[in-house]
Amino acid sequence: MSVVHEIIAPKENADDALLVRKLYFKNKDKVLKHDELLDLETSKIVITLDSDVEGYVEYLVRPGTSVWVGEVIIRIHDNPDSIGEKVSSTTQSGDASLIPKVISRNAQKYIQKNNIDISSLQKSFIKLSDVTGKTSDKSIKTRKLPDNAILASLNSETEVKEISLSLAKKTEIAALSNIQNSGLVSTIFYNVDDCYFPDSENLIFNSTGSSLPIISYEVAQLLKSYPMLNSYYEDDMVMEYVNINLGIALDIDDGLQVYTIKNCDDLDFKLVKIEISQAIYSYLRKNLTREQVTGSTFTITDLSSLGVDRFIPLINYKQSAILGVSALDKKLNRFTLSLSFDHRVTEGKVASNFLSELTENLKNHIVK
Amino acid sequence: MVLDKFYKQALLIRRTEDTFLELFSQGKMNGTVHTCNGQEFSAIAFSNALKQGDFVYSNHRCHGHYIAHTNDVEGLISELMGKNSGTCGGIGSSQHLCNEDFYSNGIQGGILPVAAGMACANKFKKNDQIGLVFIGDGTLGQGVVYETFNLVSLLGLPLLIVCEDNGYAQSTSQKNNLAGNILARAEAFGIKTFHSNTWDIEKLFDNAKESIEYVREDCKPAFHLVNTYRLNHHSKSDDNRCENEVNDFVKKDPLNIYKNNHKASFEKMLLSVDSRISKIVESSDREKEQAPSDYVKDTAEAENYHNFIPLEMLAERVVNRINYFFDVTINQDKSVIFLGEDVLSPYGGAFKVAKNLSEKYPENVISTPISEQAITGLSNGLALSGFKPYLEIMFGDFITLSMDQIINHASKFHHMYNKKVECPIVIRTPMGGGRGYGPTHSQTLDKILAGIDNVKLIALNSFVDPYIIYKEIYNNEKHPVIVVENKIDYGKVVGEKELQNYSLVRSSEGYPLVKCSPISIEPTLTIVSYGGIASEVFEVLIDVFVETELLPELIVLSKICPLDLHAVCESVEKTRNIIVVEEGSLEFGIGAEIISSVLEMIGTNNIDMVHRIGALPVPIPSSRTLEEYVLPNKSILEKIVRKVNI
Repeated sequence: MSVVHEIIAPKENADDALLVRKLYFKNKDKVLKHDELLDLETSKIVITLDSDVEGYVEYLVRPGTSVWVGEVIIRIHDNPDSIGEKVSSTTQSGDASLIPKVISRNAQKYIQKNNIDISSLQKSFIKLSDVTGKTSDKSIKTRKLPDNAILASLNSETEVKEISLSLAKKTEIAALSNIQNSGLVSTIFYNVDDCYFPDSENLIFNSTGSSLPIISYEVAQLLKSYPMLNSYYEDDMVMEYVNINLGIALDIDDGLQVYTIKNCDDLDFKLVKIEISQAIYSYLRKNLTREQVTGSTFTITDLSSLGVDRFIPLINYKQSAILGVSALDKKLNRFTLSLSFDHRVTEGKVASNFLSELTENLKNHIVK
Repeated sequence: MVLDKFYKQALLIRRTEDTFLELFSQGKMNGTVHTCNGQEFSAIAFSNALKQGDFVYSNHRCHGHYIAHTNDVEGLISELMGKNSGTCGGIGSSQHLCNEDFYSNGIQGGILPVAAGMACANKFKKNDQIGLVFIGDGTLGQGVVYETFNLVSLLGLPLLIVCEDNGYAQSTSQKNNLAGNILARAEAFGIKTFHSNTWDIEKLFDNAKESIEYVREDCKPAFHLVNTYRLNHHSKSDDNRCENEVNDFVKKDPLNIYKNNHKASFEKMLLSVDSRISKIVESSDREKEQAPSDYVKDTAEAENYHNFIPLEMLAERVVNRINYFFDVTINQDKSVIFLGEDVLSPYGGAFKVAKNLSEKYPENVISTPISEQAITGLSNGLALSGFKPYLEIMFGDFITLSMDQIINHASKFHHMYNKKVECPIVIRTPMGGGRGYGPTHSQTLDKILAGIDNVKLIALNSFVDPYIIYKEIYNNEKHPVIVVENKIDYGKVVGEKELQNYSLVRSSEGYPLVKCSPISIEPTLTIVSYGGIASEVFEVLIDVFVETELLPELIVLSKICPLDLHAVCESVEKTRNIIVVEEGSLEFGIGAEIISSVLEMIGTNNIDMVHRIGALPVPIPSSRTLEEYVLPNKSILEKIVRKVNI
């Protein structure tokens, strides 16, 4: 033990802070019992603190600075060698390599987990993207995962046989494999029963027999309450999209394209219908712009025209869920909705609540 | 023997007011009037006994006092017809007149301490001039009347308070709203009283002269009760008095008696008076109203394009620097008056700002009774008379008691008197919690003080030397300024701030703003704060980055109203994110004003995130845990992280 005594700033009258006026010794000087050590000023008086013991003094404050009542301001040591040279915590150095680094909590975790050496980083403030090398997207808010939800990402390897693929297919694989390869995707199914009444005005299916417009509209509204389905997983983080940009997967004759209805939750049903007609029209005329097929945050894939009974849709790149719409079974008077979701972002209960609520909302449109 | 000229003067007042009622019926007057029909001789008796340079402060029923004191019927008629050629350019109209030594305001009671302040100025100037303030018996219901009785008696101010007792407060009879004895009220404060009425006018003239001489010679206040009766409605269509009662007084009215006894002379007078009035009306009718651009001229503040300099660190406390300002300023300028409760040495005020001042400058330090409204009014009167009053309100919570003087008097004088006067009153008051003083000694009421027209709101902090700010006020302010100080900041050392990887600068103008920016990297979050809590925001800047990855730049404002957000907008344009932190409760607060102004200035497309942080909307508890729960000061970081991660 080297510190034999600590002196704290005393409470004098109502002051919360005291001004250090004068130090009577230098660091490491020998002091005797009752030696005057320092002057503190309150708003009324100047008080002098004496040493209660003999030893070597270490000042933790400088003249002209203020200290809080209760703060340790002087230590008395039994040995001068145990006193460090540096008194103040401030750094005066202009050398960039010596600038103290402030590291964000997320960056700290990443650095620890991946054993990264940051000594070469010439930045004073280090955030996650500085250590992962990825730039952050301004339209995304980051959300910390609760500790128990942090799971090690699976390092799965898929064995493949080398065959020739079209460029479009390669792109599609690249986009889809990222998330599917995590092995943490599940799919749940929900039947929409008693949904078709051919002799009455039925609002689920439009005149061409498509339920896509009403489903798109309801999904966009519902996603507002399910932000986890409008997010994606990256680097131990859930990235939550600020906007709801609904992707409509189109695969009629000319390959898979995902048309994006930007800020779909702001649109009323009529506008959603117009957007979908516009999508199909542009797809068929092959003049979808890059703008129209990028930036979706949640996708709906509708295979009902192909007579599909039920299927497992694949989640798109940088998304956490996808809704599949299957064909109407006229005999059973029902059709199936399937939702694939990324288990790293959300869980079965949330996905199932989403589908159940969606089914109820759709049924509200039925006029029997 | 009352001279004929006084009857003629009374007739002039009565016929002018009759004309106002006619003009009102013809739609030539905007607003209402309160006539003094029947009370005219009170105005004449007192004005006759005053000397050149004595002032008169009157109330809502002021036309008679105005004409008796100034004889400016032209200005009065034009004023009430809303013309630019009127006494106050048509701004003040019937109740708000100002001409040389004559003033009036329509607030019951509030005029008393203002008049006391003007009388106090006369006493300081030792010019042998006195003041006279007219109130009505209805005004005796106001507490400020008694605060002022105490004050004028205590300070020995040469002020004659004339109470014209017409028996009614608007339409309510005195027996329904006044208890006890009127004269005894003044006597209880050691004020000499006089008693007259408007039916024995010879005695009235004698007593008026005697009371005025007493005030002048003894340099003491006096109270003069004048029983009288108003023959018209309070204003218009608000008279429910018994017809017989009114008729009895019509018969007793000295002007009516004169008319009956001196028919020929009266007719001659009437002809002359009416001819003068009709000429004035005719010519006023042709005059123009004031142009809107003239009225609002000079009200907008020039925008500051800031020049930044390094923040000075002084090895001195905030409280000592404020004290130093007064020490050097009073030493050089004896028109600076320091007023407040408990400010005499050795106590020197609750927070020691006035330490030693009263010993050094006994003439310039006034320790006042606990009467916030009266001492604010007293300061207003001093300011109107060319002094520079600096009023200390012991706790910010108590400034609510001064609000009538701030809102209905100080803020209005310059404009309602058509820019003839300036009222450079400075009110200093400490706000803020954190000391466990509880619900009525811990509040931050800044949002109630911000947005008062023509009143500047300044907030000190521990970054900037308060001397600079007070010097700016002293040198350049012509209108009221409220300075919010902070209890905790008083003990802090000025500018003693250092932060790893951050630079600290202040703008060079008189109300400096402080900018604390990360060194050599662009910030991604703008935090705006002010006052005491700004230091606590400063303490968590690094942690904000660690927890949110948003790199904050802190801007600390000194001038709260009017806001100058040039530097804030510049910062938000870079960061796209803004959080405002204030210690007052959040709703309808300073943060709301800052954020809406920034959004208006830079457009909603240029902002991603806006948030406000403030206190909960409940009284501030005294218990430590609860106080920390209600005030944002100790949980700024937690709140910012929560807001960013929504």
